[in-house]
Amino acid sequence: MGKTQLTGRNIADDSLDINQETSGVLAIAQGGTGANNAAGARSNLGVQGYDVAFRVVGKPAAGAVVAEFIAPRAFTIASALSGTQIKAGTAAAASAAFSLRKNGTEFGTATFAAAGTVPTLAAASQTSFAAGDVLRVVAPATADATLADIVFTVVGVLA
Amino acid sequence: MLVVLPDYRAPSYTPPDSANLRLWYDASQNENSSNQPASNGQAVARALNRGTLGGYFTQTDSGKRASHVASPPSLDFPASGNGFLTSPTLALSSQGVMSFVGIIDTTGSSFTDYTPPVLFSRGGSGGINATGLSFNGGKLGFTWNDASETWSWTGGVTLPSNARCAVAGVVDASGATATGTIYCVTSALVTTSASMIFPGPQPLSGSSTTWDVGHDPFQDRHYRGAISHALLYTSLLSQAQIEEIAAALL
Repeated sequence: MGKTQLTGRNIADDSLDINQETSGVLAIAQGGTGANNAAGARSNLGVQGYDVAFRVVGKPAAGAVVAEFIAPRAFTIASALSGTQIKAGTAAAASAAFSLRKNGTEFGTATFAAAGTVPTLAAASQTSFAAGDVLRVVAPATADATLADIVFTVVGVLA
Repeated sequence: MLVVLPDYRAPSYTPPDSANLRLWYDASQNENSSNQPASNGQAVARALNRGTLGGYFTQTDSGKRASHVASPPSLDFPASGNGFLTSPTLALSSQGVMSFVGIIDTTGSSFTDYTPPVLFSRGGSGGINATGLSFNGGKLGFTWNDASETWSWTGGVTLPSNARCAVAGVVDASGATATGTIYCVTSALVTTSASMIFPGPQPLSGSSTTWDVGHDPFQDRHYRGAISHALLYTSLLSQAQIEEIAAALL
């Protein structure tokens, strides 16, 4: 990280055009962002998260669309759904897989094992959403006998 | 940044005899985000088969489509074009007993002859080429037509005009004499017991069959009115079960 410095001019008239008179990157400790671009700034400030949270109340019907969200801005969901948290209030009776889809195409799964309340998450690669793309979560095609009351927080990062 | 979506709430109602509920169209469970099909062939609503996703009802032809009704969630069938839904293929060969149940709104309907307000099939392979409820002479009854073109319509219930109601047909063609009953349920129950349909035993479905909601493919006959639910059972529902469904879904 470079130092931030005035570029050789005095502040004789009590005014400073910071766009003209500074260079480099201003550290967070000095009130800056520690970055020279938006993505880097968001990351340094810890505000890059773009999480989507929802609940399933009761037992989801077979193949039900339990969540649907149209992206108003670009974001990405990490491979393996890293960071995403899902937990059921009542465990599954048998293996039950939720499908996470982008514009109708599956990109990840959350699979509850029999007697499990926390699913195994899978996504082969990072998935990028642009504004207008649709994130959809679909319940298992066969309704599980017991799986119910599930909370989801799908973790994304602003692009 | 955290985006919180509304809760998904599981359907509060499970119809009776779920083991024999082979096809269920529920307009409140439409798949398309806008609750209307955006293009031919696109999924319109989930087709539940014994509680399992059996595929999706689709609209496959060009023409005027059924429009979405907000409350209660329904599709308003326009009596023309592709204003109907087609189920995934079902293998129900040699079924001699069936029950049909529909939750419909007759607003705008003139009960045109041969138009089906619930589910109707032209059979596919397997020896049967028509099964379903349809109108005749302004009344709702049951149509059956075997591969040898032995056609018949029987039953007969007059539905209320401009009203939401449950209609049902229960048909038993497993014995030597086929029998059936047609129901219409509103605030007061109307029932007719059909006499003999035709000699049995007979199948009521082909071995590879799709079912249309609000449409008979023969001569492109279309129902006019709204349909919110259509259920097909391979069993004989009792009057109490039909009344239960009506009470829950009307």
